[in-house]
Amino acid sequence: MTALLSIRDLSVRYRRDGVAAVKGISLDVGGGERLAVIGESGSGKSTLALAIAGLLPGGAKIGGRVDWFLPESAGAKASLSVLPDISPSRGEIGSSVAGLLFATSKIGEGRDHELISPLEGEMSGRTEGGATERRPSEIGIAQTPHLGRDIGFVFQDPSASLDPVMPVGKQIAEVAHTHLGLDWPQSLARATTLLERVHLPDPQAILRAYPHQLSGGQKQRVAIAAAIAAGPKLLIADEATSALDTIVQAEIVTLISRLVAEDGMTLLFISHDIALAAALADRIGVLRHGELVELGETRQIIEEPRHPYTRSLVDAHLGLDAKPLLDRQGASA
Amino acid sequence: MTVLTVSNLTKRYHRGGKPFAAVDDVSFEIGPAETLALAGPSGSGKSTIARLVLRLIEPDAGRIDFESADFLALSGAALRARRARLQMVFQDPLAAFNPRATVARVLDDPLRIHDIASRTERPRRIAALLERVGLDAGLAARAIHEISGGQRQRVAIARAIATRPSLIVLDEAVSALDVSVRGQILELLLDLQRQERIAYLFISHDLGVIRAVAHRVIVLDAGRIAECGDARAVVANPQSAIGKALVAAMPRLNRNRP
Repeated sequence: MTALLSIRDLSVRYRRDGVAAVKGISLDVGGGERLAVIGESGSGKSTLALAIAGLLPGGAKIGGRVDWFLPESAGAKASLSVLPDISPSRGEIGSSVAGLLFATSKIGEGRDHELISPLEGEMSGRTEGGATERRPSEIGIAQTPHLGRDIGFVFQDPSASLDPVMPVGKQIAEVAHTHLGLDWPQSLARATTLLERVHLPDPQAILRAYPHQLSGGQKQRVAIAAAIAAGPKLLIADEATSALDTIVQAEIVTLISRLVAEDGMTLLFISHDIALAAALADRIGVLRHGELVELGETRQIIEEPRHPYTRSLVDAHLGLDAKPLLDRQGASA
Repeated sequence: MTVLTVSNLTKRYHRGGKPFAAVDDVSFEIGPAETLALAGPSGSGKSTIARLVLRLIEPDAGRIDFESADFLALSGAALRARRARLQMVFQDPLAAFNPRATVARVLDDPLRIHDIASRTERPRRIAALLERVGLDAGLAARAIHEISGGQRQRVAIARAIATRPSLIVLDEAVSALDVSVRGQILELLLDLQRQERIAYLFISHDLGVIRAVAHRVIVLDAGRIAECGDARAVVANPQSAIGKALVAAMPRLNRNRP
């Protein structure tokens, strides 16, 4: 399995004097693999996802490196323009380049200072022109991932990640228009196809619907359609099913699983739920207090966890075959 | 003898100009020290039932008997007095409390409002309540926003038991907690139930949690009771379509990958 991206010694601090949200993480994500990263609140799992997507807020201190190995064809339309953010709630235009170091064969040639400096300085995720200007021009475009084009990101709350005053069809079409260079009729046709692919009934009607007219599960399907509209290599789902009820969650997990398989995407699945991760992933990484305490094949993590913390997570899972607490306590009504 | 008897409860709302029943002819009862769980998908009426039982909203039809009194007929001082015996813990304690209030203030309110302890006696009562829920008494001076989510939910439980209730409505009370904290809070709830004979109306979307702590479960679908029975029996062998769907949707740790 060839790596799609390689993370080395990644550390993120949100404040100068703050505790590192993520520290010293090294991790390879293979092309086409399904990797789950699990952890409790504050473990750094979302920070890791945001760092990979280049979505960390300005002011975050980032150390280490993330190297991408994207095929040349991915850069067909390497728009240097500002990318439409699939997450207006974050209130920023995402530039996938900001704050990350992209090593390629073309790095070198005395540009070390320029490449390293972003890690020290204030990296702003919202500089509109700045981010593109800052991108070292000699780095091959094919190796420079773009959020939306190379990375699809699905957030927990679809109500916050969709624009409330724009028809959902337009929000999906916009991604195809920007990253694939399609004209509007083509983009809208693609949006219709995507709505069918995420199994929304009556795509023609949904195309013109506004987010508030859809249920939570339907909105998350729309967010997934937008995330995959440009055919990204990597799909990041950050607690993408946590706000949904169990039945809808299972449907969305099945949908993600199928789309990833059909399109040959790599999946990074961020979750607090070890059982959900086990259902979906080939490998599971366990984060605790910003550190990767264990990484292994799903079967090994679940059946033979090596780290005591992983074991405690497995033990704390209240599955349908767990011994009821009522019995453990010997209490009865 | 029951703590709570709900008979033919109905609550209608309007959606898109058309009336629909969020809760439709629901009847159940809860005994002392019993945990009755409400399960069901989003929109099945779980939280609406909780709010009806708490009289945060009024039903369109039906009857609620709490501690052998017609709860819907109570008002004024009689209702306030009875409410001390019926408490609640919600999913997000940060939303339930004034975040800038201290822990002591949050626990002082019910003791004062329900005239349970005198002003001089209250600090000692607050310390005892904190210890009862496994918190250090020194936490009393801290602000709600300063403490962790698990500690906050313990404070919410301490406030709920401050008035010696016979029934606590727990609406997704452990759903937002990390799994390690969740286990501890569930143990605390079971311990309190044993010691104080408190009944719980336990609302959760998670059948794994329900199976772990509830005696009986009601599975709701579109405001109606789809099935009802022993929690473990229902989860092991659901009879209704929605019960089967809920069980099938539960992620399992030891599954055979397709």
